[in-house]
Amino acid sequence: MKYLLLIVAVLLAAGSMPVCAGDYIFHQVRTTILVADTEYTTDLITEWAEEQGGYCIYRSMDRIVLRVPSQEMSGIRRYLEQISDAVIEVSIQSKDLREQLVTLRSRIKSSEEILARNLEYLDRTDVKGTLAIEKEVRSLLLELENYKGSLRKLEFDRQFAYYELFLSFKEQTLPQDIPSSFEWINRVDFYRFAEQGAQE
Amino acid sequence: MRIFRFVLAGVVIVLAASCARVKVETPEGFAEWRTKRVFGQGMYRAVSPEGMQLKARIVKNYPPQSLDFWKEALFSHLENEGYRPAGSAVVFTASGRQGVLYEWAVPYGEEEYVYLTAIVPSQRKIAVVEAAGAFNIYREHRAAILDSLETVSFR
Repeated sequence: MKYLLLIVAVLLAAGSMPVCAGDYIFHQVRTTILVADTEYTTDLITEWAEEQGGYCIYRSMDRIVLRVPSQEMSGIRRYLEQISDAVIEVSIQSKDLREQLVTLRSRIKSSEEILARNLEYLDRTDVKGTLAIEKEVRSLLLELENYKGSLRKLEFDRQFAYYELFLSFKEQTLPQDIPSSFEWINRVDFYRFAEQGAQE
Repeated sequence: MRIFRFVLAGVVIVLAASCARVKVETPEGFAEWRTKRVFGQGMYRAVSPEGMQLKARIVKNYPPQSLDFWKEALFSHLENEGYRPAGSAVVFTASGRQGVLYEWAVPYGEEEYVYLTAIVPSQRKIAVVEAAGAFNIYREHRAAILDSLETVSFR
């Protein structure tokens, strides 16, 4: 019985624990990768991001900016390693949004309380007072909208990481003809293949 | 007369052995290019409307080795020569035999080409398949080529 109570207590405590800090982290990532064809790679990355529920904000031949679901952070890293010749640079900035979220929520709450009080006064005041309260209400509403907008932005940042990707194209020198010990391998050669095709 | 028959039969056997021909299903969008067969040169060739080519031929598996050995030998040779891998090795099954393909990025003229090299070894022979095309054209036909590779067969 004692143990049963202990287990129930532990389960209840776990249920009431604050949400994991990882859920409140906003990630900003800058990555440079080396690829053979930048256009093709940007197509692949955009498709991948969309499949994961993200989207592309900006794309050019050598740069692509994405919003990717935060839980796909390791997934995109693996995918880039898979499709590129090399991942040259990765820079990650992470920011805990909890303090900003708490501040904004309490600001919204207090603004709403002030707004409600002002609206109560509105019924009990004269014309001059009404005008003053109306001005105050208007400014409070504007403030509230701003706070709510910022809150929505933070909630969004919590869910979607910001991913800026630079694509670099490696200049390649022409392959050299180095003999192999195996006769047939010596005949596997792109230039020989291309030239034979042109002659036949 | 009997001796002549024996000699003739021997010649036929030798020729049959040396004329090992590779069979490949022509990739969708390609046309098979029939070339004159010279003894021992059972080559398959297909061309896309843009001129992209695919060729398959049979070579002797000598010294007799497995896929692991030949894939390593081919990769290190081309890499040493300066070919740049455009992706990792893809292992596939061609008519019940295991094969491997590599894709390489190669500069050609003003363009970037992709050169595909694939091998399917058996105990005695190896089917060697090559294809190459400008990046955009290759991308368009890649899926059809990979499908076609799975149909490579030889005796």
